[in-house]
Amino acid sequence: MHALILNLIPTTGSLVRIIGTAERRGWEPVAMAMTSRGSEVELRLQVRGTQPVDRLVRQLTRLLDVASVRVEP
Amino acid sequence: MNGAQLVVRALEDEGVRTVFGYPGGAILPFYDALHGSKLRHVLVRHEQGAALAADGFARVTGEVGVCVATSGPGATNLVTGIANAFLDSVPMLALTGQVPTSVMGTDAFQEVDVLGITMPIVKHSFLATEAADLPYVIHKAMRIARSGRPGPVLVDLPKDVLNRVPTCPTPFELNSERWSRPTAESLDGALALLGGAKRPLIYAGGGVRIGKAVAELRAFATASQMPSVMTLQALGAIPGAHPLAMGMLGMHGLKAANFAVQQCDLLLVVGARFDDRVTGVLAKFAPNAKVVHLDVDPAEVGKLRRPDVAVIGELRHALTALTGRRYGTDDWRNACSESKRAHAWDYDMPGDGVYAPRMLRDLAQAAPRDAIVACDVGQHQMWVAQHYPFQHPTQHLTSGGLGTMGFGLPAAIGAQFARPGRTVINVSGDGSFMMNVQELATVRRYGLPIKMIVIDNQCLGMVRQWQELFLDRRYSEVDLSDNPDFTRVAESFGIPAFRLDKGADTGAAIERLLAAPGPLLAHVVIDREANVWPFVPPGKPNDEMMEAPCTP
Repeated sequence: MHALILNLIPTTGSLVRIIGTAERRGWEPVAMAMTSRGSEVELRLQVRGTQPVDRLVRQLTRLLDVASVRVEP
Repeated sequence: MNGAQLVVRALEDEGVRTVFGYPGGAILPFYDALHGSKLRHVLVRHEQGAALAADGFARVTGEVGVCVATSGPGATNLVTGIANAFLDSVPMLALTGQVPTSVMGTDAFQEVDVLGITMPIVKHSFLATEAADLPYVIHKAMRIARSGRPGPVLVDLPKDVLNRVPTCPTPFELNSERWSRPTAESLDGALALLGGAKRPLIYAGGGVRIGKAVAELRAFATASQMPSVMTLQALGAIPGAHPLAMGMLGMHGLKAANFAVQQCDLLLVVGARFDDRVTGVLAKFAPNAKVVHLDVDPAEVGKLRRPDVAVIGELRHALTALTGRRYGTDDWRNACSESKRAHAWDYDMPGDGVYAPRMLRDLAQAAPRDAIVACDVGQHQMWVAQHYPFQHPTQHLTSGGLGTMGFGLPAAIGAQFARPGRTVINVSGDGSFMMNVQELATVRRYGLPIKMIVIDNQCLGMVRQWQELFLDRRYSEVDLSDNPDFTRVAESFGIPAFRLDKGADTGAAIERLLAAPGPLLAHVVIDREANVWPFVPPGKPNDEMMEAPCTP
């Protein structure tokens, strides 16, 4: 289980894009929470999966809607 | 100016001159704005043809290919072409009409959520809701499509947004590119591993063409004297005549190429992604090798195989920084060139019929050196890859990642618009050809001098081959013996055609095809039982290749 903190630029589809990427790359979202912070949104996303989490971080970082991704220790 | 005119103006400002599309209700304002613009619109006969033609245009030029469709079915017909561009990292802009914002979400006539449908197969997508933002959206979309690892970008354009006249466009500034040069630390790591290797090997992929790094790869290969293998998308990056160019690796690769991978002690991956058709059983791929992975996309690194050193950044910068020294031993070089000689192709097939590999080799010898060859998907695609020696990867248009039957003809159309003076050849199979056969009308309408070869074995050959080899010859739904007469099909579109069914007539047929001033179709009849060899069976490592039963 990993908790990711994403800062995203809220545009049409950005949330679906993020969740969809995680699911298609083999991760199961188990909990999420959103907070508005000015022009960005902070998304705390908890995922379950068997692959190395750095792989998912790179896939999410690649999305144009995503300003930053970090794994909560 | 209304929104549609702003879109057209932004495309003109981006240097776009050719767009491929098909009109319809929701996209009407865009088609109205084409009047008097610098854009040349190519009317295809199916939206999938527009997307694949834009893809072919982009592969040849390295510029963004642009396709346009209306909402609903127009947009969904683009989907296969968008996915094709996504999996082969082709820069593409797809513009779709959308129903007016006032009725979006009401299941209006020709409304689909194309943004949602295409989300997993685009690099990025936009739903434009303000006409004033359209210049920014188009410029940003073009930038995203071509930067870093390129890909398709979709912009969904509601009809009322296209019709609206904004007081003034929103001012904007585009940020600098997201991708960076490789770090000195990563390059030092790569140099250290290369310096210590005895049997180093270059594994070059489509990134070499996409990243415009062909010259840098050749300079590196010459200086390093390292043997190389290439993926389907990299063919031509190092021309096959080079003694250390081992050719294509993978499921239908050359034996010498696959053996080299299994024996090397260092694999320098240049813009390749360890695709399953390349690696066979991943755990047994290059089992003795350390891996140095060069790629512009950080997400590719470690996706399937953890590299010992990752060099992230533009390939041409990385390759130039690594160029200078010779790597590996002479014993290794000698072993590779000897293996290449020992496993050379045998074109000496018995029988009076046409032997497709030999015909493709003869075609390559007769065609101009810079001819562009598009192909479809299946056995003929592998024969083209194996037997047509390309001089440069931009000459070879092939659907690698998605494997889209029907790719060839529209891709050839896009290529011919991009390079009007060059010879463009489309090699197709009888199955694939029928998937976008309607584009013969586009060839005819614009008088495109495309040379079309339909290799006809009266069946879905690749599927038949799998059923023969792995399903005890339980053939299921592969028979196409009721194909139409392809020469008459072409003639009904106003395109001349002829039939070739004797091996002895091959030379004259190729000459006739290449000499034709306009389009010409050759219907080439081959043996139904012909298979593609060699073949790494599924679930096997690459050094366990099956060979033709009659090969000694």
